[in-house]
Amino acid sequence: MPAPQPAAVPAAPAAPLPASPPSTATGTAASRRLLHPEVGTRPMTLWGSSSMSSEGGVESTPRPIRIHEHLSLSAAPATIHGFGVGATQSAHTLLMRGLDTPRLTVVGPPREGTSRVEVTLDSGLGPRGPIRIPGAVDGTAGILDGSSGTWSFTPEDATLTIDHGIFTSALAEIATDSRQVLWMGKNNILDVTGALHDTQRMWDAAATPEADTLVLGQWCTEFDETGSATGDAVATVNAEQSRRYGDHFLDIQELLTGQEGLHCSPLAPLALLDQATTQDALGRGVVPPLLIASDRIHLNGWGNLAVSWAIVRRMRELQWL
Amino acid sequence: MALRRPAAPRLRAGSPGTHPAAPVTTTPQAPARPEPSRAAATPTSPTPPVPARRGPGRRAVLLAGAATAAITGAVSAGALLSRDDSGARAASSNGGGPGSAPATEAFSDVPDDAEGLEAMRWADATGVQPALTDARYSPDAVITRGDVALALHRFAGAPAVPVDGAPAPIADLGEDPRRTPALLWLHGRGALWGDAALKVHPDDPATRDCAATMLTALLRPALAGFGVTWDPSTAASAPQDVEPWSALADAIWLEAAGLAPASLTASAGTGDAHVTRADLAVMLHRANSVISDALA
Repeated sequence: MPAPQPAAVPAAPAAPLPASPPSTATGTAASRRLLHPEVGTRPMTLWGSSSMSSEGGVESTPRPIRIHEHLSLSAAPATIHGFGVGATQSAHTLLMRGLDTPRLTVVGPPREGTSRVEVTLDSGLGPRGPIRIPGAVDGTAGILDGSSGTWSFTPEDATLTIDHGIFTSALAEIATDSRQVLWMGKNNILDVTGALHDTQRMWDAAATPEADTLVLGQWCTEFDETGSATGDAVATVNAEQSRRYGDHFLDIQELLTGQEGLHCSPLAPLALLDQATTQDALGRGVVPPLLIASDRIHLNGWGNLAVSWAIVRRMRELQWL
Repeated sequence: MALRRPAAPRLRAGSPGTHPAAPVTTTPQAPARPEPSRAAATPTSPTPPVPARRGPGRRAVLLAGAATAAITGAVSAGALLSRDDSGARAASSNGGGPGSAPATEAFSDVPDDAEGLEAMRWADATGVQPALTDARYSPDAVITRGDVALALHRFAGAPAVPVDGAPAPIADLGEDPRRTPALLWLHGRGALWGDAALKVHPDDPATRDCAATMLTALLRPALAGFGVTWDPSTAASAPQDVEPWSALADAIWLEAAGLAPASLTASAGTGDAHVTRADLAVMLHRANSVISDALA
């Protein structure tokens, strides 16, 4: 079991430190407005599972490449909140976003010496991965923790107890005024309808739905080759989300298997298309192994670099940056 | 430098470019700049800026002539730095303009009939690429990749970047207090990427290809966001069958947008051609005109 990853703690680095700013503004009003617009100061929240938390990003590149860290650089001084949690499904993202507010029921006494109690959710959703969500049960603040394989709730104030109540995620407040990037649903991709529905709920929850969300498409691992059940599901979800969201959908499968994407600036040094392993992968409709971490299911540093490149370019076209 | 009129940009119907969403940001300390003008779409005649003369700080670090003459590097180690930045830097010695025409009032090494004069005066006045001394602009000095990054960062107003916190994604970032944030900023904006070792080689000479790639990657998505695009095939020297991801394609886009000096067009030599201070001033001056039009 990996170490718990507190969902509440932004993965982004600390607030930007001005580095010797000039005493007077350089450039012109026009160039400053185009290249560093004031509209780019809204925070961003990144929602999803392991890809969104850049698992595998420490491999293959000389330095770790994590998407949320690159976006922190891109979007400064805006804050980036990285809420990707490995192994989670799209339903967990709804819970973290505060769109699902299940009723918790305590199923046992507090763990000895603590206020932590085991709970169940009436939605039936089970815990996945290192998920930990700050929130409150009927006003009692605490942490809903699924990282041990069962749900538990620990009140912030150890003198308080709960029996049952409605859980509401505190991340909802952070998300309220944020733009959002969604990369969710791969871990339940065979439920095509559910993955599409949950993503749509996240889209609809944005302050200005038609403008505030960027949906990242899914990509095919070795286990999702053309003709497989999961490969077909990925293709179906990508096609539908492309249709629904237009410029606010970024086709990651096309990025990582298409000629233009594999030639993009950050990947140019790899000469990917000259590699036999790349050609073999493309023949099977999967992402080339030189972009994949050793676990064969996550992008490595190069893969994350390509995704960062594409995200930043699209965000600049959307005037987010 | 022969100058060409660019093809008219395409404006998407209903694009933000046709209905600006926000007023132009103004900064009280901003130096004088050319007034945005429709005529500025013709980059041969942008509205001349009023050269802003800065305070006495620049003069205080003016190089002694003998020291200046002793420095003769072919490529500047910091050709973009002004007297404010470092005082004596190599490029100040080797960038003299052609000798026959009289020097301008602004720069002793730029003749009155130099085609890039307006751009150099603009770059100096706006701080994007200031003169190296009070008297000399060093127009022919070859610049480095780091110099291009610094100029582009200043073109954007030198925004603050997080220099602490996250691990640096660039292996040869260095610790120069001006260039380091410029490199990081450009990387963050998707316009500067490393090699297989994640090195960006800021001290290497800037070539046509690398400058084209950086400028295009920085400007093209932002202008597209305002609905302004160009068809690279309209560039006069656009060859057939150019791979869209190549540096040549970026050079052709710059040409189609009217930003490339004649010496850096796709047909005017190789991608390895070095970029000078005058070249960069011209490109950014024209870019400013294009941007002003796009935001108008």
